Amino acid sequence: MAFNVLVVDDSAVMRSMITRVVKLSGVPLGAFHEAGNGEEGLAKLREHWIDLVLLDINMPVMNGEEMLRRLRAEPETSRLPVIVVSTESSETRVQALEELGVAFVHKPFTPEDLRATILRVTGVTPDDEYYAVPAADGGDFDF
Amino acid sequence: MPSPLLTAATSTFESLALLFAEAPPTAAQAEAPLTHAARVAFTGPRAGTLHVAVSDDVAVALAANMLGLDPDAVRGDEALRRDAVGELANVVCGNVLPLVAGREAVFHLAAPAACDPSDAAAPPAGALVEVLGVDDGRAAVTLSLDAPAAPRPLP
Amino acid sequence: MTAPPAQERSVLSLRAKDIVVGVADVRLAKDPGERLITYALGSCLGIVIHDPVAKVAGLLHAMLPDSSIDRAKAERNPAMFVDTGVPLLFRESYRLGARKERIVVKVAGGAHSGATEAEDTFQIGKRNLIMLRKLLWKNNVLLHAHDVGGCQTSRTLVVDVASGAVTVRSHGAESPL
Repeated sequence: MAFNVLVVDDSAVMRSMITRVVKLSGVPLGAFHEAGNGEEGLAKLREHWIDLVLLDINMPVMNGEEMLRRLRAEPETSRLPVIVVSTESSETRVQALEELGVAFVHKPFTPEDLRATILRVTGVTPDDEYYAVPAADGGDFDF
Repeated sequence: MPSPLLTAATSTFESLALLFAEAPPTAAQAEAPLTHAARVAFTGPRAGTLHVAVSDDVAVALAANMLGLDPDAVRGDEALRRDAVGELANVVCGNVLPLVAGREAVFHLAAPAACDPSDAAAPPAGALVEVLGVDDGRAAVTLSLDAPAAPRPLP
Repeated sequence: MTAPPAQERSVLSLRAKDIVVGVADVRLAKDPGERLITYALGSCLGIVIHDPVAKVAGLLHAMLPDSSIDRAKAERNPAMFVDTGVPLLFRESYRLGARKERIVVKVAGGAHSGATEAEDTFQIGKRNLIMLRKLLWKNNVLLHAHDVGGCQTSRTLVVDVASGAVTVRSHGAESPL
């Protein structure tokens, strides 16, 4: 199967960083969707079939915690794999989030840490142990 | 011992933006004008604000490194630079609060908002301030805690 | 570089077909019997790449992060700097048949030169690692494993060309990376 991914973060730069790691993770990917806050995120979930959510906490309009509670309340998304990617550092709050059935990656993250969590949550074992994408990805590469 | 604010700021520059940051800045770094700033307000056991201001080339390097691009690719994009500075403020804030208040404390952070870099020139009394040299420029990071709420007088 | 005295039973004991990579040096190999070895990694980085299909391995021993401090020196010896050595390491491996999308990257070194982090005035080890991470991120390559940092730590690193297995020796103990 291919994973349709939703990245919810109010920072466009952070959404791009997360997307880059997901693409490098070795997980088979379908469509990518983005949202800038929890309300937009819930709308994307209604419009599209999503298999994996990467979710920030501190966002305007609706924060990630509220979005998470609401999506867990819906039967369709009650067991949807969610990775919270947040600067949140309180053990109390991280524990509360984990009780809602999410994995947690602390910002700032290394690409390797986020990749490892993505693989764990999706249960995907890449066919190989490769860690790079082909040079012909259209980027401006030095090597 | 470096202050908690310096620890959180240098490690965020290193890990989030792949930039080496060091206090104090050199004389040349300290002269770079601050051009971009963002603040993150928080509430919790203590309320307050985390303010970050950076010089222009630091804002460019932040956005370029986070996106994995050459600096020239982001130089013309003001929105990306503002966004990167806001995310830096968010991550520094989230990482400094447990160092100040302990890992059990629960804070609520507002989304980062762009603000005036000149705010860094006049920090509120009692604020923690760190100035770091980053590449050829600098960053000023300020943590201000509101006074603990006084008990309300009975009507 | 002269090799330290061979030690009994250590996988790091020098063998006939070992290639010693000096300081500010880069070597590549694809002969299955060969190994690449580098000694005395302090704040320097030992950066290993391996393509498990082409069975090509490369090892760079870079001293400093940024070639912009001495362009002429970088021109003469790009392996001295992380920012010029890493592209060279990858490009040379492609000439031997390695492919970017298969390459596994490991790194050791980047230690603090002082007895404590605060005593390390120039923080060369940390700067080297930041430069490596920046280059890999920009070029869409993730790091597979690392053994970095520590204070006044000297590491020896050996790569088995055929398998890509990397062994690091520090403080008298050997461990796989």
